Amino acid sequence: MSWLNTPQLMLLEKALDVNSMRQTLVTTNLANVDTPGYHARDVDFHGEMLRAAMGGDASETSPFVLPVQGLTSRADGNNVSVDRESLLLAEVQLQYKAATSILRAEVAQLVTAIKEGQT
Amino acid sequence: MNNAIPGFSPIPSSLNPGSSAAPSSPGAGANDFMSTLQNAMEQVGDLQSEADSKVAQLLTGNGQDVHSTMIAVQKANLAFEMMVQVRNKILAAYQQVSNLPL
Amino acid sequence: MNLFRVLEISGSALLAERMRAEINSANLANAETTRTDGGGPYQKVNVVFGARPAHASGFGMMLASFADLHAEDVKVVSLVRDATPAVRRFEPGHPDADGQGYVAYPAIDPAEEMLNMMGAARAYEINASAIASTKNMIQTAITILG
Repeated sequence: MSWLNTPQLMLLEKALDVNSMRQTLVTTNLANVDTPGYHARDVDFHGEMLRAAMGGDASETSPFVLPVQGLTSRADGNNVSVDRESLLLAEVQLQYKAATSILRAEVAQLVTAIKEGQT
Repeated sequence: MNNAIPGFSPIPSSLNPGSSAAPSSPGAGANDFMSTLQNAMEQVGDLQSEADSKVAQLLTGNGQDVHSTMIAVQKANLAFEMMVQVRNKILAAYQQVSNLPL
Repeated sequence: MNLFRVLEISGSALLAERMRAEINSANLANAETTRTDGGGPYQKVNVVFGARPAHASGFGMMLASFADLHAEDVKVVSLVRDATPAVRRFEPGHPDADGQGYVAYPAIDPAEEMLNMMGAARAYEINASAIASTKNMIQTAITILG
């Protein structure tokens, strides 16, 4: 089954996993923008993708969720930055779209390879 | 397992590994073809059941990712395509060989 | 991590923020109410939000994604009557004036309530656009199948 599970395909699937997770966190952060004491969370996107690209075995573990550094808290203890989260919303969506497009191209390539000897 | 694959027409009995009507002329080559085909069929079976279970989980709202489900279904499709091609090649090869003047 | 679940989170925020806007506008509307059914001036209501951690609702879901534990809904945890004592103004001719001629008014600052309402509206908007973004992602994922 190794022809199906190419490193490219696995990396792309990992990219979709991490971005999906990120969307969850960004959405949760935005939903809790008025919750007292709530601290924004994220994943280390770069780190996760590097890990997946280098040591393929790590692709089975869920991305680590970390508190976001460098944010200022307001009077009620909430430190969610709407600007930051909105920006991330756009970024995650684009990353997801890009990974999906490349995935589709990979699949098309495989289909061609399978059918190329068709009489 | 054959019945579980949608839209898949049954393999002609002459290619069935267990059938006594299996031609002896292709000889050892036929066994390689058979095992390739058998591997392909097993792959399809495994991938299909994995895809099916993911789809079921997605549809019943059990927390399955949309993208993993789509990828699993796509992989099952690809494996199925591969199997069809392998079968076609075997058929073509068999026909070529059986048309050789003896 | 299921994106459909993510839609629910944004949905919970829309609900909560809308309730907050409603409470704030009730506060605003009653900023000058000196007489209520329970006697005394209107008491401002404060809205308290809380994050509700998603709990694994079944064995299957628990295995499906550890990430779901980080998906926290938000909801209005409680509505609290403000305990700030009423503001007393000297208006001897007022029908609700007490013996010394003072009328008790609600301790509501209209500017503060307006700010709260604007905050609720802004949060509502941003969560609505989060929903659009998530919906877009789900549709993108579906295109994997062509």
